[in-house]
Amino acid sequence: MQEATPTVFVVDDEASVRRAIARLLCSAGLHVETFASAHEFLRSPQPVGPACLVLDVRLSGENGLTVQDALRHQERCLPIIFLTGHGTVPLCAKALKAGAVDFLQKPCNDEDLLEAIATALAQDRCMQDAQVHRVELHRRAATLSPRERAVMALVVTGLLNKQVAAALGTSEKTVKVHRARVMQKMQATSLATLVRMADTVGIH
Amino acid sequence: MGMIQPPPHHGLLEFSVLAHELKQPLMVILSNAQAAQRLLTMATPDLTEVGAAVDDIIAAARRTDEMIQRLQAFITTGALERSRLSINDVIREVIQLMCGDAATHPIRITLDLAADLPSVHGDRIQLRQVLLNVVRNAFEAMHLVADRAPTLVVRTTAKPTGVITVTVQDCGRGIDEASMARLFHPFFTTKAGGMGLGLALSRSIIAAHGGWIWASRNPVQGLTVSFTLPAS
Repeated sequence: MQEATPTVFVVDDEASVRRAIARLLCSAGLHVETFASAHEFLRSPQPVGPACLVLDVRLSGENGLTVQDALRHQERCLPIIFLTGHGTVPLCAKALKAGAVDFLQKPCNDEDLLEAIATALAQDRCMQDAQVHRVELHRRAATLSPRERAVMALVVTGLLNKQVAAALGTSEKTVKVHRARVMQKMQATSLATLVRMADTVGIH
Repeated sequence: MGMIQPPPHHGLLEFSVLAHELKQPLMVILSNAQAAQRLLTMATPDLTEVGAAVDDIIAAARRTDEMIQRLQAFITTGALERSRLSINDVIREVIQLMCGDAATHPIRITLDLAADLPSVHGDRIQLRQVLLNVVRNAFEAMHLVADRAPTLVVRTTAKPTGVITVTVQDCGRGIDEASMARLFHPFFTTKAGGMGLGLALSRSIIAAHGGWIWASRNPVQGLTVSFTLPAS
């Protein structure tokens, strides 16, 4: 699968700072989009590929931490790197506790910023992959017949075929057939994988 | 532009923004310089982009210099715009600005203002800044105190000699004896994230008005900051 280009969103209320950060990130080969306010950013369409946000904490009007909160309630929870001119310790701690990737003081070194962005993008890629994986597992689970679903629910608790058969009031041979079909439909290579899948799609 | 321009929301100087204001152009300078460095290492450097980065660096450096010059001018010459004013009015204004309705504010504020106070020939904006700094410090000192009701007392008195004294008394966590001597020194602060400029600038402003400012530890708890101004 061809991965979509990663995007770095930069929100700072000062045009010259936006331009400087964008220029730096572009020179490092990143795709950048800038916004003058958090409000403007929150209203923009959600990115398709992996993305992260570089945010000034003391945005006029809106506080950076409020934005962090607003983002958490969105469908895509983008990793955030905070940039600040006066990062007080409590503010920093609060941001990091709420899931910020990093908290950098202005003026920050290019390497620190780029490293934080790389971490944030990797984190977002993981979250996206997990999301794709979850959707795919749900799709597979939807192809199971009610009986197969029942068998899967019992098998993942560690019951033997014989015990499953007893629980469902059927023969061990039928359970074996159902079980094979579950493994095939879910594309599970082992019982351990199937257990994890059951957990993800909520078959208990 | 810069810290001398009053922020739009309350039209007063806000010294705590100074650090942020200075760090913005520094960020512009550093990031553009590092971007230019990266651009120049490429096989075919985009020289137009490097030129644009350098232009932005120059503009940011000039801006930083201008901000520092304004700050210096403000601290050293003080360029007062004097008018006849009532310091009691300035106090009420500051309390109103910081608390809105004092009656519903969590901090109990007592204004003990002498009714027959002579007027002062002074710079309203700068004196307001002094009071704002002192009152804000008092509020912040009481912010973390949980075992007593936060109370602020602002008092004005006048001597027949023509000296007006303003005292701002809090019951906050106070200042230890060792720090008292440096309280008015520039860049001395006991606040996390503080710039240490508020009281230093206040001292310059009061001195430019021909007055004195000092602080004393209260017998039980908290700090009292007082300053004098000559009556006009």
